Amino acid sequence: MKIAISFLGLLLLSVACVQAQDSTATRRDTLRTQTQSGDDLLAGLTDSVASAQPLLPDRMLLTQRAFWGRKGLFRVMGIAPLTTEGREKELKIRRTMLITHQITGILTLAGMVAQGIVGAQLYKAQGDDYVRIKRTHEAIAAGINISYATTALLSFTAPPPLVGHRRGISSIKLHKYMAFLHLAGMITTNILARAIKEDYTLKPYHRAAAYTTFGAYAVSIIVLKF
Amino acid sequence: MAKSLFLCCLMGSLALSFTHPKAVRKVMADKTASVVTYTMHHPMHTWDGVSHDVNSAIRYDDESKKIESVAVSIRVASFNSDNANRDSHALEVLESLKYPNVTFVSQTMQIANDGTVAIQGNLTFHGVTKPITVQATRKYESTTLTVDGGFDVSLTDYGVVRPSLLGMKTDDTMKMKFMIVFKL
Repeated sequence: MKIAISFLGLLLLSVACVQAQDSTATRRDTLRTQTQSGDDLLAGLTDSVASAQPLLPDRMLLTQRAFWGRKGLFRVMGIAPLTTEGREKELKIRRTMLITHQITGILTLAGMVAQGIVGAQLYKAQGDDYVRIKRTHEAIAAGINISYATTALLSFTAPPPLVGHRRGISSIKLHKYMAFLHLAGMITTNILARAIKEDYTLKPYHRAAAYTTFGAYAVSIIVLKF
Repeated sequence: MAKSLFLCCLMGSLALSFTHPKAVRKVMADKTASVVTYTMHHPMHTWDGVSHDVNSAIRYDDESKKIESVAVSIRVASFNSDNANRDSHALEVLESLKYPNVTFVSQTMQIANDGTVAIQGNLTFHGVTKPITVQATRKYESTTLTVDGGFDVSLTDYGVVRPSLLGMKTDDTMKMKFMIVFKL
């Protein structure tokens, strides 16, 4: 019995030694072991990471909240249920709307530049030239108003982004601040354009409002560079 | 009899313990000190997005002072480029609702003579897994181990639509840099 137990001990010892000396087997298993342990590590990490992302940002534009908020019009009417799949589609719609926003925005800027040239000529024009240039001026103004309104609506009513507003200044915030300025400028310019028909002395104010609008509008595009 | 049995068990235990000499343990990254940054270029500007929410763990051998394996998982929504619209646009193209995390798992590590480490592993980004090699350096400071390095990612390789602004697309290459700190 004693011999048997001693033999068992020696057997264990020799098996262990053989295992320790079999470096080929160790190397062979290294890659598999590392991969397994890496995967195990990752499994532990992903379990601890909160993967769920909020479908809507905490803060969004008032117009966006009215249409796309948790209790927005499109949610209540069942047009756009708030689901992950639904939000994925909404984000595609948002991108299309924002690309169109950029295109109509550039067209509006081009219209404003043209209007600046035509407007300056209108100040000097007399007689038939005045009538002709004024018609052109009014036609361009109508075009600008339509493209400007389209640009603004595309932005205000687009489905909300995944990331809400953050504290601090950024190029997109400057873009939005400038938007409020040129929106006010557009309204003022249009009101003064009608008022000029009654009171010709308002013409310099109309021009000043138009130039301010153009300046704010150009800055709102330029800041996107940064 | 009992004495012999005890002796036998002792010998066996001693022998088996010598076959597993490694003191390998799992060490989690220190989130407060770790950072991962991406850099992207658009014809109009270049910008960085930073994540301080780095979930990483290593299997570390205390005796050989070697990292045996590493895993990293970062929420794509945790990257901040100081521009909410840009970050939102990034999450759109990365389909973050479907693929919320970017992960890396090491497979093999090769240590060069200069101490740099070439970590080969799998990067899963936008739901696509591809093998990559990451060059990293290790720095030991009393009780901390800092691993830093970088690698490039091709957006199209991972099925990501390159984001665009004013009709111009970003470069296809996104440069990644990382500094992950482990408290040993």
